Amino acid sequence: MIPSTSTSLYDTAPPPGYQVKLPLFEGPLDLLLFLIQRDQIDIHDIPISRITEEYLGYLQFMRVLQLDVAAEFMVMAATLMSIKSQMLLPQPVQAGDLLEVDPRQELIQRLLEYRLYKTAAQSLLECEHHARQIYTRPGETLPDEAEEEEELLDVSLFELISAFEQIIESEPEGTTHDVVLEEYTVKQRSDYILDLLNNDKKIAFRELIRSDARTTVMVVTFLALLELMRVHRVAVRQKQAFGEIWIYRLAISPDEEHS
Amino acid sequence: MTDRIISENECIVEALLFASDHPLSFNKLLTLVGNIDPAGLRDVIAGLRQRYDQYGHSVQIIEIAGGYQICTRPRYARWVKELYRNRTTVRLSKPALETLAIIAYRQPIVRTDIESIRGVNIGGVLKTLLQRNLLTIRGRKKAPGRPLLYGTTDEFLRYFGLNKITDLPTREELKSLIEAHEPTEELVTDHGHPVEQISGPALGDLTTSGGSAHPGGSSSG
Repeated sequence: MIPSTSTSLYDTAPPPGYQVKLPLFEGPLDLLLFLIQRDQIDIHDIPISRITEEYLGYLQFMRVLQLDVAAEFMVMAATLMSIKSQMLLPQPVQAGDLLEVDPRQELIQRLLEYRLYKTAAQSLLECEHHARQIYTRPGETLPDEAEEEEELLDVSLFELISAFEQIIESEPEGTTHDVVLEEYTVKQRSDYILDLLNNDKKIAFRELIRSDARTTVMVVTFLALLELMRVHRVAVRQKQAFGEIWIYRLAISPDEEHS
Repeated sequence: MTDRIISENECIVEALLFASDHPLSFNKLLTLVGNIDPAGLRDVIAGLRQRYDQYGHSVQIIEIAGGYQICTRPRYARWVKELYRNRTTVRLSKPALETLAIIAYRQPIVRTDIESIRGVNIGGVLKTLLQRNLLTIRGRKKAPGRPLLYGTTDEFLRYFGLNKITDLPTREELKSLIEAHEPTEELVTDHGHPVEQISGPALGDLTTSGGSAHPGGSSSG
């Protein structure tokens, strides 16, 4: 269970070793549903005052336990209090308004929808359980060069970017700080990649990116690669998910044949 | 004479399914077997399945991710599990399952829509699911910021043992499932697991009514 206590949009899941299993709710809707079900409340007619009290009580409890209370929980607390106050105030009756809008309506809709998907998640869990009881033959060990064309997997842009990210992150910060003219352009790096591919049938993505240790050059090389992919001059493939990514030259277009 | 030809075709299909490490679609089988029409192939597959069931074979033929595949029967899971101990994948977390459920029913869908349904931020979960290839980017929504649209993959179907996405219970089925378990006295638990209140025995019903939703389970009985 990943406690949804993150505040940054780009937070990643904590590494498995650091996950702490707590009776913590995934989010405010999860907590509200729990309170509603525990108290056998009719979800279509929520006693907002009581539920607000219980909700805030739970947040307080989380704080006592020194759990990080996610911002989303606070937003919901504000929503609940706002609904509560709207229900206390007499609604100004306007001539045009035939239907009185229940201030709880929107929240109830959200809860109903969330509950639907929560049930769907349960059925997925059930599917997962069943599917894990059956075994199929695992993928064969890597095919040899001869068969590669057939067996290689397409590498999605996402995979490529995360592979690039990993390389950049794993590179130690440059120790030298030479100030040099930025002489690399996407065009030059594209030519460089194509040159390499003239000599070898394929080149390893990792080696290509690392061929120059400067981050700026890495980025330009990466952009050049993306550009070559876009114009279908090269293709990136891998033998298995998360395996080494290889760059292949695609069939040369007629006007390129003589170069 | 005809019997002999049919059983030879059964052997061919069996060999193909045995040798393949991924589901083979009906059309792919049709091409590979050659010299057989769709009706004939359907008969051959049915015959093969019947043979597996009849003779208490430890493997079965399932329809999964839009194809046919040979797999072991659930009752032998505990042994095979031991064999594959090192390559067993981690089960999905609750947030991951909820996120997948929303995407499965609403795809293609943008991240903010998923977040507003779940009421929480899902950046980390999305990243994990993309890495596990259960999700894919389907393009961009024609809206301000051109946000990415997410959808499920064949690997999603394979992971959950589904043949096609419509094998999932419909919204109506989910709703009636919830209604059948609206709060009544025996549903209240005291160990703080809200999920169990709406699941429990209900999911048993779901799997049987869902029919082909669990090919692995359905033929195991």
